[in-house]
Amino acid sequence: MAVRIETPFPSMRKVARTLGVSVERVKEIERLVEEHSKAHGNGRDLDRRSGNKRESARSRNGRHH
Amino acid sequence: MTGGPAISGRVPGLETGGTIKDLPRAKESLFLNIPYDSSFTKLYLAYIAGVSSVGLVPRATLEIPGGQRRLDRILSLIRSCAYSLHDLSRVELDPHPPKTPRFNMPFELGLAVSWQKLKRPNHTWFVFEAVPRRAEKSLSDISGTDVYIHNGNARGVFTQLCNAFVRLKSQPTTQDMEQIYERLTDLLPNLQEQTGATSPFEARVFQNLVFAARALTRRQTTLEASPSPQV
Repeated sequence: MAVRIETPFPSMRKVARTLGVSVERVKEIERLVEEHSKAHGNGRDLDRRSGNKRESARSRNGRHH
Repeated sequence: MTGGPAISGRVPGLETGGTIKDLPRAKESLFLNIPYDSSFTKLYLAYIAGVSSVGLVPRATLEIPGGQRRLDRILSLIRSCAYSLHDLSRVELDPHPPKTPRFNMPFELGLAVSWQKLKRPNHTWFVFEAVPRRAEKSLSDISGTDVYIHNGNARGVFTQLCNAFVRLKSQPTTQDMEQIYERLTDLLPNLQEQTGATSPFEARVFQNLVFAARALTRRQTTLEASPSPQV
């Protein structure tokens, strides 16, 4: 039976407190994620990439037909 | 199980003279009971990505520094979490001599069940496995329990996490989880390098992965909430 989650998403501060680490370290990870996202595109870009993959697969199928 | 046996204070046998350092109990924490070996890395990342996607904070025994007895650390973590997830997919014999089965995961499941039955009725535990009906055979005591079968792959983990947890507001899809998983996989070498760790199964790497997954989830939900860019 599925569990219904009604609690809000925990903030980064809350996650840091839960895991017992400093906010500075959290900021460092956030910076890393941010840099990575800038370099590789954001979530929507990922969607678009997978969409393109699906599109090209359809195109290939089309050529086969 | 509100009508359970009246036990006040310590549960006999579950504590060692009050030496367990109590962690604050968090309703959004989930104890992740999984094997720590390199062949499990993909599923390890999948669990961190998926659990973070549903808005929970994964906790694992590897995050707590040594000094305490391992068993005490495990109990302390179970007590601090509202949920626990036990992956029983590693039932094969460890090939390193002497060949032995792994008892840790089922043992820790037993601790969580005891905790729920004897002390904390609202603690919710889940059993995950790779192969259908195998858990019922290897651990027949859990007959009648829903076992979530992930087929040994990340996508299966996401599907089963979506079956196990329903977020009333902003329920993630398996695609959302997969995006976070892909990003975590890309980030892992950096996160590992940052800590000087040689394995992803080290405390600081685990914590970094949890933060990164939370940051990615936040980014994803923010992007969902914002209007689509004009192309």
